[in-house]
Amino acid sequence: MIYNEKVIDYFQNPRNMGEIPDADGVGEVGSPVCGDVMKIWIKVDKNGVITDAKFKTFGCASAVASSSIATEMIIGKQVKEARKITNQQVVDALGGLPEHKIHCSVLAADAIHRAIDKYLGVAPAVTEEIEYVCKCQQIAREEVEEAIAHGAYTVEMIAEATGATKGECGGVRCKPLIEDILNQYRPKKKKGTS
Amino acid sequence: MRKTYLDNNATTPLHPEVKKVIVGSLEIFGNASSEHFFGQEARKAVEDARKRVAELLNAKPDEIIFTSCGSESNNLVIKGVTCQDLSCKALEESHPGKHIITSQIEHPSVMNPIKSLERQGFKVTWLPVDKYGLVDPALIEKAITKQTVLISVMTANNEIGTIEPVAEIAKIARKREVYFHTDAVQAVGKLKIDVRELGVDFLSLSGHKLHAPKGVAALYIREGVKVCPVLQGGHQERGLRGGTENTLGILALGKACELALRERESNVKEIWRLRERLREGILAKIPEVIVNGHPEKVLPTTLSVTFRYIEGESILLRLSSKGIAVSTGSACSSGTLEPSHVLLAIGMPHELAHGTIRFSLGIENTQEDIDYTLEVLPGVIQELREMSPLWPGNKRAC
Repeated sequence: MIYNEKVIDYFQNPRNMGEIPDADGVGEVGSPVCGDVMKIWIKVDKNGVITDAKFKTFGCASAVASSSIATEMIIGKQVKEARKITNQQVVDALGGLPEHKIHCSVLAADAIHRAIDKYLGVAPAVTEEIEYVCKCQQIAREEVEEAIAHGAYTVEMIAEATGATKGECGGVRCKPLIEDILNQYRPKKKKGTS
Repeated sequence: MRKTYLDNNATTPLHPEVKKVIVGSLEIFGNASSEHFFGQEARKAVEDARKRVAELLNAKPDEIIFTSCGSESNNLVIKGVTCQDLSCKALEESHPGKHIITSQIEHPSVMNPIKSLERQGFKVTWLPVDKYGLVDPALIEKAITKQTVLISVMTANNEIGTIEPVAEIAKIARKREVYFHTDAVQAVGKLKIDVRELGVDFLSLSGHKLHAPKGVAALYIREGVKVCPVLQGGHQERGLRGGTENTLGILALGKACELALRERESNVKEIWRLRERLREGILAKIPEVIVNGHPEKVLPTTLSVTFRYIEGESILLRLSSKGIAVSTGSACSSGTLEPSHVLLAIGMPHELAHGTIRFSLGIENTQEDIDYTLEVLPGVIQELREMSPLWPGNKRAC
Protein backbone atom coordinates (compact mmCIF):
# COMPACT_ATOMS: atom_id res chain seq x y z
CA MET A 1 0.00 0.00 0.00
CA ILE A 2 1.38 3.36 -0.95
CA TYR A 3 -0.57 5.18 1.78
CA ASN A 4 -0.32 4.96 5.55
CA GLU A 5 -3.29 3.93 7.71
CA LYS A 6 -4.22 7.49 8.61
CA VAL A 7 -4.51 8.55 4.97
CA ILE A 8 -6.61 5.49 4.22
CA ASP A 9 -8.81 6.19 7.25
CA TYR A 10 -9.47 9.79 6.14
CA PHE A 11 -10.15 8.53 2.62
CA GLN A 12 -12.51 5.73 3.66
CA ASN A 13 -14.22 7.76 6.40
CA PRO A 14 -13.88 11.37 5.34
CA ARG A 15 -14.64 13.93 8.03
CA ASN A 16 -16.57 17.11 7.12
CA MET A 17 -17.61 15.95 3.66
CA GLY A 18 -20.40 18.07 2.22
CA GLU A 19 -21.39 21.65 1.51
CA ILE A 20 -22.37 24.63 3.66
CA PRO A 21 -25.28 26.30 1.83
CA ASP A 22 -24.90 29.69 3.61
CA ALA A 23 -21.11 29.62 3.79
CA ASP A 24 -19.12 32.78 4.55
CA GLY A 25 -16.32 31.75 2.22
CA VAL A 26 -15.84 29.18 -0.53
CA GLY A 27 -12.55 28.24 -2.17
CA GLU A 28 -12.14 26.04 -5.24
CA VAL A 29 -8.82 24.96 -6.74
CA GLY A 30 -7.49 22.44 -9.26
CA SER A 31 -8.95 21.31 -12.56
CA PRO A 32 -10.69 18.17 -13.79
CA VAL A 33 -8.13 17.90 -16.60
CA CYS A 34 -5.37 17.40 -14.04
CA GLY A 35 -7.42 14.94 -12.04
CA ASP A 36 -7.95 16.98 -8.87
CA VAL A 37 -10.61 19.52 -7.90
CA MET A 38 -11.11 20.64 -4.30
CA LYS A 39 -13.82 22.88 -2.96
CA ILE A 40 -13.92 24.07 0.65
CA TRP A 41 -16.72 25.92 2.43
CA ILE A 42 -16.21 27.82 5.74
CA LYS A 43 -18.58 29.32 8.30
CA VAL A 44 -17.18 32.14 10.44
CA ASP A 45 -18.80 33.62 13.58
CA LYS A 46 -18.80 37.31 14.59
CA ASN A 47 -15.57 36.91 16.53
CA GLY A 48 -13.77 35.74 13.41
CA VAL A 49 -13.63 32.11 14.51
CA ILE A 50 -14.19 29.34 11.95
CA THR A 51 -17.10 27.37 13.36
CA ASP A 52 -17.54 24.91 10.52
CA ALA A 53 -15.74 23.79 7.38
CA LYS A 54 -16.78 21.29 4.72
CA PHE A 55 -15.19 19.93 1.58
CA LYS A 56 -15.91 18.19 -1.69
CA THR A 57 -13.13 16.63 -3.74
CA PHE A 58 -12.70 15.03 -7.14
CA GLY A 59 -9.44 13.18 -6.96
CA CYS A 60 -7.43 10.31 -5.60
CA ALA A 61 -7.33 8.99 -2.04
CA SER A 62 -4.67 11.46 -0.89
CA ALA A 63 -6.64 14.38 -2.32
CA VAL A 64 -9.72 13.33 -0.34
CA ALA A 65 -7.68 12.73 2.82
CA SER A 66 -5.79 16.03 2.50
CA SER A 67 -8.93 18.11 2.10
CA SER A 68 -10.75 16.27 4.85
CA ILE A 69 -7.99 16.66 7.46
CA ALA A 70 -7.41 20.28 6.41
CA THR A 71 -11.01 21.16 7.30
CA GLU A 72 -10.52 19.61 10.74
CA MET A 73 -7.35 21.62 11.25
CA ILE A 74 -9.04 24.99 10.78
CA ILE A 75 -12.31 24.48 12.67
CA GLY A 76 -12.19 26.46 15.94
CA LYS A 77 -9.36 28.68 14.75
CA GLN A 78 -9.30 32.44 14.15
CA VAL A 79 -9.38 33.07 10.40
CA LYS A 80 -6.02 34.83 10.54
CA GLU A 81 -4.50 31.81 12.27
CA ALA A 82 -6.18 29.42 9.85
CA ARG A 83 -4.94 31.44 6.86
CA LYS A 84 -1.39 30.43 7.86
CA ILE A 85 -2.00 26.73 7.20
CA THR A 86 0.71 25.24 4.98
CA ASN A 87 0.80 22.13 2.86
CA GLN A 88 3.53 20.77 5.11
CA GLN A 89 1.21 20.95 8.12
CA VAL A 90 -1.37 18.96 6.13
CA VAL A 91 1.23 16.33 5.22
CA ASP A 92 2.41 16.13 8.82
CA ALA A 93 -1.15 15.81 10.13
CA LEU A 94 -1.65 12.86 7.78
CA GLY A 95 1.61 11.28 8.95
CA GLY A 96 3.18 11.65 5.51
CA LEU A 97 2.22 11.33 1.84
CA PRO A 98 4.10 9.69 -1.05
CA GLU A 99 6.32 12.19 -2.86
CA HIS A 100 4.24 12.20 -6.04
CA LYS A 101 1.11 13.00 -3.99
CA ILE A 102 2.48 16.07 -2.21
CA HIS A 103 0.56 18.28 -4.64
CA CYS A 104 -2.67 17.10 -2.99
CA SER A 105 -1.63 18.81 0.24
CA VAL A 106 -0.69 21.94 -1.73
CA LEU A 107 -4.17 22.03 -3.23
CA ALA A 108 -5.84 21.51 0.17
CA ALA A 109 -3.92 24.43 1.72
CA ASP A 110 -4.64 26.55 -1.38
CA ALA A 111 -8.37 25.82 -1.21
CA ILE A 112 -8.45 26.97 2.41
CA HIS A 113 -6.47 30.14 1.59
CA ARG A 114 -8.97 30.89 -1.20
CA ALA A 115 -12.00 30.31 1.04
CA ILE A 116 -10.59 32.59 3.76
CA ASP A 117 -9.58 35.25 1.24
CA LYS A 118 -13.15 35.18 -0.10
CA TYR A 119 -14.45 35.66 3.43
CA LEU A 120 -11.99 38.50 4.10
CA GLY A 121 -12.84 40.07 0.76
CA VAL A 122 -9.24 39.90 -0.35
CA ALA A 123 -8.55 39.31 -4.01
CA PRO A 124 -6.03 36.52 -4.63
CA ALA A 125 -2.60 37.94 -3.90
CA VAL A 126 -1.24 39.78 -6.90
CA THR A 127 2.45 40.40 -6.69
CA GLU A 128 3.23 43.86 -7.90
CA GLU A 129 6.53 42.91 -9.36
CA ILE A 130 6.79 39.59 -11.11
CA GLU A 131 9.52 37.48 -9.62
CA TYR A 132 11.24 35.54 -12.39
CA VAL A 133 12.79 32.26 -11.39
CA CYS A 134 14.13 31.55 -14.86
CA LYS A 135 15.21 34.80 -16.43
CA CYS A 136 16.18 33.36 -19.82
CA GLN A 137 12.70 31.96 -20.46
CA GLN A 138 10.79 34.46 -18.28
CA ILE A 139 9.26 31.83 -16.02
CA ALA A 140 7.66 33.41 -12.96
CA ARG A 141 7.74 31.92 -9.47
CA GLU A 142 3.96 31.53 -9.73
CA GLU A 143 4.30 29.23 -12.73
CA VAL A 144 6.74 27.04 -10.82
CA GLU A 145 4.33 26.87 -7.87
CA GLU A 146 1.49 26.05 -10.26
CA ALA A 147 3.54 23.15 -11.65
CA ILE A 148 4.10 21.84 -8.11
CA ALA A 149 0.35 22.02 -7.43
CA HIS A 150 -0.15 19.94 -10.55
CA GLY A 151 2.14 17.18 -9.40
CA ALA A 152 5.73 18.13 -10.28
CA TYR A 153 8.11 17.18 -7.50
CA THR A 154 11.56 17.29 -9.06
CA VAL A 155 13.52 20.02 -10.85
CA GLU A 156 13.27 17.96 -14.05
CA MET A 157 9.49 17.72 -13.81
CA ILE A 158 9.20 21.47 -13.24
CA ALA A 159 11.51 22.07 -16.20
CA GLU A 160 9.30 19.83 -18.32
CA ALA A 161 6.09 21.57 -17.21
CA THR A 162 7.24 25.18 -17.40
CA GLY A 163 10.14 25.25 -19.82
CA ALA A 164 12.47 26.59 -17.12
CA THR A 165 16.18 25.61 -17.29
CA LYS A 166 15.93 25.30 -21.06
CA GLY A 167 17.16 28.80 -21.86
CA GLU A 168 20.57 30.10 -22.76
CA CYS A 169 22.11 29.62 -19.36
CA GLY A 170 21.11 25.95 -19.36
CA GLY A 171 19.66 26.17 -15.88
CA VAL A 172 22.76 27.50 -14.13
CA ARG A 173 20.82 30.32 -12.47
CA CYS A 174 17.36 28.85 -12.05
CA LYS A 175 18.05 25.26 -10.97
CA PRO A 176 19.08 26.25 -7.41
CA LEU A 177 16.09 28.63 -7.17
CA ILE A 178 13.68 25.91 -8.24
CA GLU A 179 15.29 23.53 -5.76
CA ASP A 180 14.67 26.15 -3.03
CA ILE A 181 11.01 26.50 -3.97
CA LEU A 182 10.60 22.72 -4.03
CA ASN A 183 12.13 22.48 -0.57
CA GLN A 184 9.52 24.89 0.76
CA TYR A 185 6.81 22.44 -0.27
CA ARG A 186 8.55 19.21 0.63
CA PRO A 187 7.71 17.79 4.03
CA LYS A 188 10.55 18.41 6.49
CA LYS A 189 12.61 15.28 7.16
CA LYS A 190 12.26 14.41 10.79
CA LYS A 191 15.38 13.55 12.72
CA GLY A 192 15.92 9.86 13.27
CA THR A 193 14.01 8.83 10.18
CA SER A 194 15.70 8.08 6.95
CA MET B 1 -14.43 -10.92 3.51
CA ARG B 2 -15.38 -12.19 0.05
CA LYS B 3 -12.43 -11.81 -2.32
CA THR B 4 -13.11 -11.15 -5.99
CA TYR B 5 -10.18 -10.90 -8.36
CA LEU B 6 -10.96 -8.90 -11.50
CA ASP B 7 -7.42 -7.90 -12.42
CA ASN B 8 -6.38 -10.83 -14.63
CA ASN B 9 -4.76 -8.55 -17.23
CA ALA B 10 -2.27 -7.55 -14.53
CA THR B 11 -1.51 -11.15 -13.66
CA THR B 12 -3.28 -14.48 -13.20
CA PRO B 13 -3.24 -17.04 -10.40
CA LEU B 14 -1.50 -20.36 -11.07
CA HIS B 15 -3.70 -23.00 -12.70
CA PRO B 16 -4.07 -25.92 -10.23
CA GLU B 17 -2.56 -28.28 -12.85
CA VAL B 18 0.40 -25.94 -13.34
CA LYS B 19 0.91 -25.88 -9.59
CA LYS B 20 0.96 -29.71 -9.58
CA VAL B 21 3.61 -29.78 -12.31
CA ILE B 22 5.83 -27.32 -10.41
CA VAL B 23 5.52 -29.22 -7.14
CA GLY B 24 6.12 -32.52 -8.91
CA SER B 25 9.28 -31.18 -10.58
CA LEU B 26 11.04 -29.61 -7.59
CA GLU B 27 13.65 -32.35 -7.67
CA ILE B 28 14.74 -31.49 -11.22
CA PHE B 29 17.76 -29.31 -10.50
CA GLY B 30 20.27 -30.19 -13.21
CA ASN B 31 21.65 -27.61 -15.60
CA ALA B 32 19.99 -28.31 -18.94
CA SER B 33 23.36 -27.73 -20.63
CA SER B 34 25.09 -30.50 -18.67
CA GLU B 35 25.67 -33.74 -20.53
CA HIS B 36 25.20 -36.05 -17.55
CA PHE B 37 21.84 -37.53 -16.59
CA PHE B 38 20.95 -34.69 -14.18
CA GLY B 39 21.38 -32.23 -17.00
CA GLN B 40 19.58 -34.41 -19.51
CA GLU B 41 16.58 -34.74 -17.22
CA ALA B 42 16.31 -30.92 -17.19
CA ARG B 43 16.96 -30.72 -20.95
CA LYS B 44 14.12 -33.14 -21.64
CA ALA B 45 11.73 -31.07 -19.49
CA VAL B 46 12.73 -27.84 -21.25
CA GLU B 47 12.40 -29.29 -24.75
CA ASP B 48 9.10 -30.93 -23.90
CA ALA B 49 7.79 -27.55 -22.73
CA ARG B 50 9.09 -25.90 -25.92
CA LYS B 51 7.00 -28.36 -27.94
CA ARG B 52 3.87 -27.45 -26.00
CA VAL B 53 4.38 -23.73 -26.44
CA ALA B 54 4.96 -24.32 -30.16
CA GLU B 55 1.82 -26.44 -30.42
CA LEU B 56 -0.34 -23.68 -28.92
CA LEU B 57 0.96 -21.23 -31.52
CA ASN B 58 1.16 -23.72 -34.43
CA ALA B 59 4.90 -23.02 -34.60
CA LYS B 60 7.91 -25.32 -34.76
CA PRO B 61 9.70 -25.96 -31.45
CA ASP B 62 12.88 -24.42 -32.90
CA GLU B 63 11.00 -21.17 -33.41
CA ILE B 64 10.41 -20.71 -29.67
CA ILE B 65 12.90 -18.90 -27.43
CA PHE B 66 12.37 -18.84 -23.67
CA THR B 67 12.90 -15.51 -21.89
CA SER B 68 12.19 -14.12 -18.44
CA CYS B 69 9.20 -11.86 -19.16
CA GLY B 70 7.12 -10.28 -21.88
CA SER B 71 9.20 -7.13 -21.61
CA GLU B 72 12.36 -9.10 -22.34
CA SER B 73 10.76 -10.73 -25.39
CA ASN B 74 9.74 -7.30 -26.70
CA ASN B 75 13.18 -5.82 -26.03
CA LEU B 76 14.87 -8.75 -27.74
CA VAL B 77 12.91 -8.13 -30.94
CA ILE B 78 13.25 -4.35 -31.02
CA LYS B 79 16.92 -4.21 -30.08
CA GLY B 80 17.81 -7.48 -31.77
CA VAL B 81 16.39 -6.55 -35.16
CA THR B 82 17.84 -3.05 -35.15
CA CYS B 83 21.10 -4.25 -33.64
CA GLN B 84 21.40 -1.15 -31.48
CA ASP B 85 22.75 -0.83 -27.95
CA LEU B 86 24.90 -3.85 -28.72
CA SER B 87 28.50 -4.51 -29.42
CA CYS B 88 27.47 -7.21 -31.88
CA LYS B 89 27.07 -5.44 -35.19
CA ALA B 90 26.72 -8.51 -37.38
CA LEU B 91 23.34 -7.53 -38.72
CA GLU B 92 23.99 -3.90 -39.44
CA GLU B 93 24.89 -4.72 -43.00
CA SER B 94 21.73 -6.66 -43.71
CA HIS B 95 19.39 -4.21 -41.98
CA PRO B 96 20.71 -0.76 -42.65
CA GLY B 97 17.32 0.98 -42.29
CA LYS B 98 16.56 3.22 -39.40
CA HIS B 99 12.77 3.50 -39.47
CA ILE B 100 10.27 1.76 -37.21
CA ILE B 101 6.47 1.75 -37.36
CA THR B 102 4.44 1.18 -34.21
CA SER B 103 1.15 2.29 -32.66
CA GLN B 104 0.43 4.89 -30.02
CA ILE B 105 -1.17 2.33 -27.71
CA GLU B 106 1.64 -0.19 -27.24
CA HIS B 107 2.73 -1.49 -23.87
CA PRO B 108 5.62 0.48 -22.29
CA SER B 109 7.94 -2.49 -22.95
CA VAL B 110 7.51 -1.84 -26.68
CA MET B 111 7.13 1.93 -26.51
CA ASN B 112 10.19 2.67 -24.39
CA PRO B 113 12.80 0.63 -26.30
CA ILE B 114 11.50 2.29 -29.49
CA LYS B 115 11.71 5.74 -27.86
CA SER B 116 15.26 4.90 -26.95
CA LEU B 117 16.03 4.12 -30.62
CA GLU B 118 14.33 7.39 -31.57
CA ARG B 119 16.78 9.24 -29.33
CA GLN B 120 19.60 7.44 -31.14
CA GLY B 121 18.48 8.79 -34.48
CA PHE B 122 15.86 6.32 -35.67
CA LYS B 123 12.75 7.67 -37.35
CA VAL B 124 9.60 6.35 -35.72
CA THR B 125 6.05 6.45 -37.06
CA TRP B 126 3.69 6.41 -34.08
CA LEU B 127 0.44 5.32 -35.71
CA PRO B 128 -2.76 6.88 -34.37
CA VAL B 129 -5.78 4.70 -33.55
CA ASP B 130 -9.51 5.30 -33.95
CA LYS B 131 -11.93 5.84 -31.06
CA TYR B 132 -12.04 2.07 -30.43
CA GLY B 133 -8.27 1.78 -30.38
CA LEU B 134 -7.96 0.17 -33.83
CA VAL B 135 -4.91 0.68 -36.02
CA ASP B 136 -5.67 1.26 -39.72
CA PRO B 137 -3.54 -1.14 -41.85
CA ALA B 138 -3.76 1.30 -44.77
CA LEU B 139 -1.80 3.82 -42.70
CA ILE B 140 0.92 1.23 -42.18
CA GLU B 141 1.15 0.58 -45.90
CA LYS B 142 1.58 4.33 -46.46
CA ALA B 143 4.15 4.70 -43.71
CA ILE B 144 6.54 2.00 -45.00
CA THR B 145 9.71 3.34 -46.60
CA LYS B 146 12.90 1.72 -47.86
CA GLN B 147 14.34 2.50 -44.45
CA THR B 148 11.68 0.58 -42.50
CA VAL B 149 13.19 -2.34 -40.53
CA LEU B 150 10.39 -3.26 -38.15
CA ILE B 151 6.65 -2.90 -37.61
CA SER B 152 5.40 -3.64 -34.09
CA VAL B 153 1.68 -3.65 -33.32
CA MET B 154 0.14 -5.48 -30.37
CA THR B 155 -2.36 -8.31 -30.88
CA ALA B 156 -4.75 -6.98 -28.25
CA ASN B 157 -4.55 -3.95 -26.00
CA ASN B 158 -4.03 -4.53 -22.29
CA GLU B 159 -6.10 -1.57 -21.11
CA ILE B 160 -9.18 -1.53 -23.33
CA GLY B 161 -8.96 -5.03 -24.86
CA THR B 162 -9.30 -3.98 -28.50
CA ILE B 163 -8.04 -6.65 -30.93
CA GLU B 164 -5.86 -5.28 -33.73
CA PRO B 165 -5.98 -6.46 -37.37
CA VAL B 166 -2.69 -8.32 -37.01
CA ALA B 167 -3.15 -10.70 -39.98
CA GLU B 168 -3.82 -7.81 -42.35
CA ILE B 169 -0.80 -5.91 -41.10
CA ALA B 170 1.34 -9.04 -41.44
CA LYS B 171 0.26 -9.41 -45.07
CA ILE B 172 1.37 -5.86 -45.84
CA ALA B 173 4.64 -6.35 -43.99
CA ARG B 174 5.35 -9.57 -45.86
CA LYS B 175 4.60 -7.99 -49.22
CA ARG B 176 6.92 -5.06 -48.47
CA GLU B 177 9.57 -7.32 -46.90
CA VAL B 178 9.55 -5.66 -43.51
CA TYR B 179 9.75 -7.63 -40.26
CA PHE B 180 6.53 -7.63 -38.24
CA HIS B 181 6.37 -8.17 -34.49
CA THR B 182 3.24 -8.49 -32.40
CA ASP B 183 3.10 -8.28 -28.63
CA ALA B 184 0.52 -10.98 -27.91
CA VAL B 185 1.03 -11.05 -24.15
CA GLN B 186 -2.64 -10.27 -23.45
CA ALA B 187 -3.98 -12.39 -26.29
CA VAL B 188 -2.33 -15.80 -25.93
CA GLY B 189 -4.65 -18.20 -24.12
CA LYS B 190 -7.64 -15.97 -24.82
CA LEU B 191 -7.70 -15.77 -28.62
CA LYS B 192 -6.81 -18.42 -31.17
CA ILE B 193 -3.21 -17.60 -32.07
CA ASP B 194 -1.81 -19.40 -35.09
CA VAL B 195 1.46 -17.83 -36.20
CA ARG B 196 1.22 -19.42 -39.66
CA GLU B 197 -2.27 -18.02 -40.24
CA LEU B 198 -1.30 -14.65 -38.82
CA GLY B 199 1.91 -14.54 -40.81
CA VAL B 200 3.95 -12.70 -38.20
CA ASP B 201 7.74 -12.81 -37.86
CA PHE B 202 7.88 -12.32 -34.09
CA LEU B 203 5.32 -12.87 -31.35
CA SER B 204 5.77 -12.25 -27.61
CA LEU B 205 3.91 -14.09 -24.87
CA SER B 206 4.21 -14.18 -21.11
CA GLY B 207 3.67 -17.00 -18.62
CA HIS B 208 2.00 -15.17 -15.77
CA LYS B 209 -0.80 -13.88 -17.99
CA LEU B 210 -1.90 -17.43 -18.69
CA HIS B 211 -1.72 -19.07 -15.28
CA ALA B 212 2.01 -19.94 -15.24
CA PRO B 213 4.30 -18.19 -12.74
CA LYS B 214 6.09 -14.84 -13.13
CA GLY B 215 9.64 -14.94 -14.46
CA VAL B 216 9.05 -17.01 -17.56
CA ALA B 217 7.97 -15.97 -21.05
CA ALA B 218 8.63 -16.82 -24.67
CA LEU B 219 9.27 -15.30 -28.04
CA TYR B 220 8.31 -16.83 -31.38
CA ILE B 221 10.90 -16.07 -34.05
CA ARG B 222 9.92 -17.31 -37.52
CA GLU B 223 12.34 -19.82 -39.00
CA GLY B 224 15.12 -18.10 -40.93
CA VAL B 225 14.67 -14.68 -39.32
CA LYS B 226 17.88 -13.39 -37.72
CA VAL B 227 18.23 -11.22 -34.63
CA CYS B 228 21.10 -10.21 -32.36
CA PRO B 229 21.01 -11.39 -28.75
CA VAL B 230 20.41 -8.71 -26.13
CA LEU B 231 21.40 -10.82 -23.16
CA GLN B 232 24.76 -12.11 -24.32
CA GLY B 233 26.28 -15.14 -22.68
CA GLY B 234 26.30 -18.85 -23.32
CA HIS B 235 24.87 -20.78 -26.22
CA GLN B 236 21.47 -21.25 -24.56
CA GLU B 237 18.37 -20.67 -26.64
CA ARG B 238 20.28 -20.94 -29.91
CA GLY B 239 22.66 -18.25 -28.67
CA LEU B 240 19.86 -15.69 -28.65
CA ARG B 241 19.41 -15.56 -24.90
CA GLY B 242 22.31 -16.41 -22.64
CA GLY B 243 21.69 -17.68 -19.12
CA THR B 244 20.89 -21.04 -17.57
CA GLU B 245 17.32 -22.05 -18.38
CA ASN B 246 14.63 -21.41 -15.76
CA THR B 247 13.66 -25.08 -15.81
CA LEU B 248 10.78 -24.94 -13.32
CA GLY B 249 9.30 -21.83 -14.91
CA ILE B 250 9.66 -23.21 -18.41
CA LEU B 251 7.95 -26.48 -17.68
CA ALA B 252 5.17 -24.60 -15.91
CA LEU B 253 4.75 -22.44 -19.03
CA GLY B 254 4.66 -25.58 -21.15
CA LYS B 255 1.86 -27.00 -19.00
CA ALA B 256 -0.04 -23.69 -19.10
CA CYS B 257 0.16 -23.68 -22.91
CA GLU B 258 -1.01 -27.29 -23.10
CA LEU B 259 -4.00 -26.37 -20.90
CA ALA B 260 -4.72 -23.25 -22.95
CA LEU B 261 -4.82 -25.32 -26.13
CA ARG B 262 -7.25 -27.77 -24.56
CA GLU B 263 -9.46 -25.47 -22.49
CA ARG B 264 -9.35 -22.10 -24.21
CA GLU B 265 -12.55 -22.32 -26.19
CA SER B 266 -14.80 -23.43 -23.36
CA ASN B 267 -13.14 -21.06 -20.87
CA VAL B 268 -13.50 -18.08 -23.12
CA LYS B 269 -17.16 -18.75 -23.77
CA GLU B 270 -17.94 -18.62 -20.06
CA ILE B 271 -15.67 -15.61 -19.42
CA TRP B 272 -17.38 -13.67 -22.22
CA ARG B 273 -20.78 -14.49 -20.72
CA LEU B 274 -19.64 -13.12 -17.34
CA ARG B 275 -18.04 -10.07 -18.95
CA GLU B 276 -21.28 -9.27 -20.75
CA ARG B 277 -23.25 -9.76 -17.56
CA LEU B 278 -20.95 -7.27 -15.83
CA ARG B 279 -21.15 -4.79 -18.70
CA GLU B 280 -24.93 -4.96 -18.94
CA GLY B 281 -25.28 -4.74 -15.16
CA ILE B 282 -23.10 -1.64 -14.95
CA LEU B 283 -24.98 0.08 -17.77
CA ALA B 284 -28.33 -0.77 -16.16
CA LYS B 285 -27.42 0.24 -12.62
CA ILE B 286 -25.07 3.21 -12.97
CA PRO B 287 -25.75 6.41 -14.93
CA GLU B 288 -23.12 8.42 -16.79
CA VAL B 289 -20.71 5.63 -17.71
CA ILE B 290 -18.82 4.95 -20.92
CA VAL B 291 -17.67 1.50 -22.05
CA ASN B 292 -14.32 1.74 -23.84
CA GLY B 293 -12.75 -0.39 -26.55
CA HIS B 294 -14.29 -2.03 -29.60
CA PRO B 295 -17.77 -3.53 -29.01
CA GLU B 296 -16.92 -6.83 -30.77
CA LYS B 297 -13.21 -6.91 -31.60
CA VAL B 298 -12.35 -7.04 -27.93
CA LEU B 299 -10.69 -9.50 -25.55
CA PRO B 300 -13.38 -11.58 -23.86
CA THR B 301 -11.62 -10.96 -20.55
CA THR B 302 -11.46 -7.17 -20.61
CA LEU B 303 -14.00 -4.50 -19.73
CA SER B 304 -12.84 -0.90 -19.53
CA VAL B 305 -15.38 1.53 -18.09
CA THR B 306 -15.22 5.27 -17.48
CA PHE B 307 -17.24 6.63 -14.56
CA ARG B 308 -17.77 10.35 -15.03
CA TYR B 309 -17.09 12.92 -12.29
CA ILE B 310 -14.87 10.70 -10.14
CA GLU B 311 -11.29 9.53 -10.11
CA GLY B 312 -10.07 5.99 -10.75
CA GLU B 313 -7.76 5.48 -7.80
CA SER B 314 -10.58 6.35 -5.39
CA ILE B 315 -12.82 3.77 -7.04
CA LEU B 316 -10.03 1.16 -6.95
CA LEU B 317 -9.29 1.67 -3.24
CA ARG B 318 -12.96 1.74 -2.19
CA LEU B 319 -13.59 -1.49 -4.14
CA SER B 320 -10.43 -3.02 -2.68
CA SER B 321 -11.68 -2.34 0.85
CA LYS B 322 -14.77 -4.35 -0.07
CA GLY B 323 -12.74 -7.27 -1.43
CA ILE B 324 -12.87 -6.46 -5.15
CA ALA B 325 -9.57 -6.12 -7.03
CA VAL B 326 -9.57 -4.01 -10.21
CA SER B 327 -7.14 -1.66 -11.87
CA THR B 328 -7.27 1.97 -12.99
CA GLY B 329 -7.02 2.93 -16.60
CA SER B 330 -4.84 5.82 -15.58
CA ALA B 331 -1.31 5.56 -14.31
CA CYS B 332 -2.10 7.90 -11.42
CA SER B 333 -1.48 5.38 -8.67
CA SER B 334 1.78 4.17 -10.12
CA GLY B 335 3.79 7.31 -9.61
CA THR B 336 2.88 9.43 -12.59
CA LEU B 337 -0.07 11.78 -12.79
CA GLU B 338 -0.56 11.66 -16.52
CA PRO B 339 -3.58 9.64 -17.55
CA SER B 340 -3.07 6.50 -19.64
CA HIS B 341 -1.55 7.04 -23.10
CA VAL B 342 -4.01 4.48 -24.46
CA LEU B 343 -7.07 6.42 -23.31
CA LEU B 344 -5.63 9.67 -24.62
CA ALA B 345 -4.85 7.99 -27.96
CA ILE B 346 -8.49 6.92 -28.41
CA GLY B 347 -9.39 10.58 -27.98
CA MET B 348 -10.71 10.52 -24.44
CA PRO B 349 -10.44 13.88 -22.67
CA HIS B 350 -8.11 13.95 -19.64
CA GLU B 351 -10.89 14.43 -17.10
CA LEU B 352 -12.66 11.27 -18.27
CA ALA B 353 -9.44 9.27 -18.58
CA HIS B 354 -8.83 9.91 -14.85
CA GLY B 355 -12.08 8.10 -14.04
CA THR B 356 -11.48 4.87 -15.93
CA ILE B 357 -11.46 1.38 -14.40
CA ARG B 358 -10.37 -1.87 -16.01
CA PHE B 359 -12.17 -5.05 -14.99
CA SER B 360 -10.32 -8.09 -16.30
CA LEU B 361 -11.80 -11.52 -15.84
CA GLY B 362 -10.24 -14.96 -15.72
CA ILE B 363 -10.99 -18.67 -15.51
CA GLU B 364 -11.51 -18.61 -11.76
CA ASN B 365 -14.31 -16.02 -11.83
CA THR B 366 -17.86 -17.14 -11.14
CA GLN B 367 -21.27 -15.59 -11.64
CA GLU B 368 -21.31 -14.89 -7.89
CA ASP B 369 -18.18 -12.73 -8.35
CA ILE B 370 -19.94 -10.66 -10.98
CA ASP B 371 -23.17 -10.37 -9.00
CA TYR B 372 -21.26 -9.34 -5.88
CA THR B 373 -19.41 -6.70 -7.90
CA LEU B 374 -22.69 -5.42 -9.32
CA GLU B 375 -24.06 -5.26 -5.80
CA VAL B 376 -21.13 -3.25 -4.39
CA LEU B 377 -20.12 -1.04 -7.31
CA PRO B 378 -23.19 1.26 -7.62
CA GLY B 379 -22.87 2.28 -3.94
CA VAL B 380 -19.13 2.99 -4.27
CA ILE B 381 -19.70 5.11 -7.38
CA GLN B 382 -22.61 6.99 -5.77
CA GLU B 383 -20.63 7.76 -2.58
CA LEU B 384 -17.68 9.10 -4.53
CA ARG B 385 -19.92 11.15 -6.80
CA GLU B 386 -21.59 12.68 -3.76
CA MET B 387 -18.11 13.67 -2.62
CA SER B 388 -17.24 15.20 -5.99
CA PRO B 389 -17.72 18.92 -6.66
CA LEU B 390 -18.14 18.05 -10.35
CA TRP B 391 -21.17 15.79 -9.96
CA PRO B 392 -24.24 17.70 -11.20
CA GLY B 393 -26.51 15.28 -9.33
CA ASN B 394 -25.56 17.15 -6.16
CA LYS B 395 -27.17 20.33 -7.37
CA ARG B 396 -30.35 18.53 -8.26
CA ALA B 397 -30.50 17.05 -4.79
CA CYS B 398 -30.14 20.40 -3.03
